[in-house]
Amino acid sequence: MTPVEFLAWVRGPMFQIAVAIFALGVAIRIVEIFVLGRKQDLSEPRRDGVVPGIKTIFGRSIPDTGTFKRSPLNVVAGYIFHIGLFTTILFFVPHIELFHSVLGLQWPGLPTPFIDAVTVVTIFAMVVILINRLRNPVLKFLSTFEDYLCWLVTLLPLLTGYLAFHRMLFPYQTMLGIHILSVEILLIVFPFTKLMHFFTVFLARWYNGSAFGRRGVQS
Amino acid sequence: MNPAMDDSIEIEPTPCAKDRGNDLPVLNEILHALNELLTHDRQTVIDIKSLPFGPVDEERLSIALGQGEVAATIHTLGESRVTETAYAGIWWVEHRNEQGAVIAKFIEVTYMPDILKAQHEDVIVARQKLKDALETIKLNGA
Amino acid sequence: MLQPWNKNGLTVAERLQAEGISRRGFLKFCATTASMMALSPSMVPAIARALENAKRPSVIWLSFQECTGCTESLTRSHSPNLETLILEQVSLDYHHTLQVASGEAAEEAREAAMKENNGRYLVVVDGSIPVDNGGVYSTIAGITNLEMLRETAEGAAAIIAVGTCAAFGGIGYAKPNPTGAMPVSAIISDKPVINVSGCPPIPTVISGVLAHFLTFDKLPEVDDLGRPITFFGQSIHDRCYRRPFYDRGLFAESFDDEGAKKGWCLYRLGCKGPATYNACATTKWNEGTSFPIEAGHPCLGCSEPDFWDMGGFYQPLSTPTGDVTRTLVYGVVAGALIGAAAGSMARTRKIKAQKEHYKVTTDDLEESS
Repeated sequence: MTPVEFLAWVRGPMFQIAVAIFALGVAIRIVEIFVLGRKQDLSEPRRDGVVPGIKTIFGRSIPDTGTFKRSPLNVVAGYIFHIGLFTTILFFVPHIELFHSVLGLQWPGLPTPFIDAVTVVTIFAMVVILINRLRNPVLKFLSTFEDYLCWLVTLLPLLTGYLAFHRMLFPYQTMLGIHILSVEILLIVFPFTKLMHFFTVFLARWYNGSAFGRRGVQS
Repeated sequence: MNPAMDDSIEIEPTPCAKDRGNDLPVLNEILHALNELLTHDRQTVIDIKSLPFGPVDEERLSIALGQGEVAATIHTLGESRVTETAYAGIWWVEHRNEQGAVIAKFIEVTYMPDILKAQHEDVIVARQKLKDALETIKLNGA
Repeated sequence: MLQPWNKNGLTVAERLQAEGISRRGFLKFCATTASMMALSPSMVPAIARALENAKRPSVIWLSFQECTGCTESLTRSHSPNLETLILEQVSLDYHHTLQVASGEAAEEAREAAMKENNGRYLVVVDGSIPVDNGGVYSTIAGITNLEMLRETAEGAAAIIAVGTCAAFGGIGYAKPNPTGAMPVSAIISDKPVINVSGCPPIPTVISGVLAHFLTFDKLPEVDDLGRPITFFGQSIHDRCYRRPFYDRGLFAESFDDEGAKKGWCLYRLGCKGPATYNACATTKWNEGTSFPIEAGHPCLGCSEPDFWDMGGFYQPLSTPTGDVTRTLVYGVVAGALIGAAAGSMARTRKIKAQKEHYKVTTDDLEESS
């Protein structure tokens, strides 16, 4: 396969396969969660669960002092990595073109050198997170293959995107092809792993928040 | 009315060459070449065709380099012009074909572009020619 | 049809000398040749040495499944111009469009040139070669292109595949390729083949490769796709004068917006410059006047294989080529249905289980034990 054929394949059939698996997988899991529902709470609610639910969706985005004191590095690096990831995905102009072509939506991009810097910082934060995971005995004990897999499939798009932008390692067509393929791998792995937290995190927060609210407990 | 004929459409004459700044790296390269000439006696030739220039980038470079003391014209296989810039040691060498079209353009960083010098092979031919000429004069004179 | 130059076998230096051109003129010739071949000016002495012995090669130009755009391009060569190139630098012994002879006389000229210069002549091919059904889709003088290529390549020193059709199949090879079009390299494997791609190729790139063969008596160094590195070594994007705008994130978003007027980067309008290797950005067209991006149009990527099948010309490089929106919608809908079905089945099981639930008393336990 020549670099050109490879690029045509990842932009064509492979992209379709990845998006199909991603859409199918994510939709199955989310709809199933809703349809299954929750066990009916027959107890008399102390108060309504809606407000605490909404509060928790946002409130849990701020780390509580206890968690922060226990592992400040993880919290800070985690934040940098998540914000960085979203910035690079959503505000790099070629990516906006991708969203535009698929979703029909577009928004203003950020200057390329800024995205470039954010990418480096994000990759660095991810490396810090991995080192922390390996060095902390408890964290290491709790880590499974899936955790490392998720880390890898998230890092690869960032790394290959950086290399493609700077036209390093391989001819551009090959490098761009590898970058797109890495994103496709991420999309395929997504519904089967805890990467699903992208969609479920707010559902879970809502559930916890409203359940605690009904019981009159702070969350 | 054909929009192309509409005089009211204004087209920017020099679209943002300043914004691009494509001439700056070349000026830096030339400065480096001057250093090389002075410290290692090494001459540099830059082919203008190899530079990623957009509209008016070359003009900007030409204005930046200015005009110097020497301007020479060579008549062989069409015209060639060798001109020194305002900076001694930096030369423009422009070759044209018999039809007058520019076929190659260089910036040479050297004490004197080679093409200006009389060539050894030509001097040998010249010696013979002059000898022959003298013979003819002598013969005619005698 | 052979030119007198070829017969008396003068070298380039001898020819210039015979014309009364000085050594200085020869130096100029070498300098412009270096520039034409996109070689570093430091190569001039080597070129001068090589040209001392260089002889004018015989060239047979074969036009197959093509549009003559490549020849049109060549006629715009200015350095050297077409006349100098085909009359002085090479001996163009066969070329449909440019030769005077026609009919049988034309074919005789080809055969004579092949015989006279066996093993030394250069074959230039433009156009793809249809091979389906024995290659009947394109014939010249009753000979299929396939047969003529094989026959002419036999005694060639090297083959230059000019244009994307000859190099990579081009438009003939594009889906669904009804004639079974093939590039030269798919047919000829026992001769050096160099690809001068582009639709059409830059005229000075064609003449530059010819000059390289004339000067060094061999083809220039090539990349993975068989293209001369001196011309195809860098992407359009790498050498684009609009690159600073890409780096700064300044893009034209339509052909008449503020960005387009200010000459910003054309990536969002589908420019394939980042993935296209060619010399347009530096060598340029029309005597070095301009190139598509300079004229405000995104690069189509015409010097790359399969450029016809790489999605729309105005589709940005970062976007998928298929209809992904449809896949996404179908995927979500199908997923939702499956999810709902699976969820309800689980729910039904749960309710059934709850219904079948009955209380167990100590008596029941005693009974069973």
